Amino acid sequence: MLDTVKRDKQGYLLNTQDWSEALAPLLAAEEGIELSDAHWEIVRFVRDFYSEYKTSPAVRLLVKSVKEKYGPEKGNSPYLFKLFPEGPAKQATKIAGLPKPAKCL
Amino acid sequence: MVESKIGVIFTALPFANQQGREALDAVLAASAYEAPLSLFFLDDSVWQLVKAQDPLQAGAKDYLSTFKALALYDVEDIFVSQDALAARHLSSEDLSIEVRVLSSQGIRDQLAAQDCIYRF
Repeated sequence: MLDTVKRDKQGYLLNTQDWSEALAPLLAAEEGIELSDAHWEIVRFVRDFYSEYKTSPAVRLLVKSVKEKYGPEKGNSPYLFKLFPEGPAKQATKIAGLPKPAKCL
Repeated sequence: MVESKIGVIFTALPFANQQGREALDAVLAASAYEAPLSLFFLDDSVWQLVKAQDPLQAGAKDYLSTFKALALYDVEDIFVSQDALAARHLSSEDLSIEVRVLSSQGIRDQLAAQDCIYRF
């Protein structure tokens, strides 16, 4: 299923509209992540963020906006890094079929 | 860490080229360093802020929606030239985000307060 969608060299989907919920577990497996409800909450959150702002949140903003929506026990780096060990912004956006968040210059 | 005050000047129309999007990307990236950022919209660039546009119809990526994210990134000093708006029969009510409209003197004063300026 994954080989039918176009992706960049790092594995991010080229077209966000190619994403479906069925793809998420496959993308997550490549990252060595098994999706729990807690993962899904963040994956859906970054998709909602993208649909409103047309940009993927970088990590600092992800922490801040998760905190605003779900409170401090989820809106903190240790919690998000536990879910996405190689970088919550990087991995959550990849699993959500979004472009990689813009990094520092 | 960058301590200097950074001014970013927008000058271009929204879809004629990539300048507006590049400027916005630079602003969002720079905001990660918590440097004080001021944005200036001069000349035709005020069209980038006009609300209810559909960039997809122009065959462009919708980066205009991303301006709304500036507030989340704590970028609040957004200055728009009164002259540029007036010349295009626009007012701050036509814009998609909250800005401060300044006279050309006001723009000059704010620009003079920056340590470094990028122009797009």
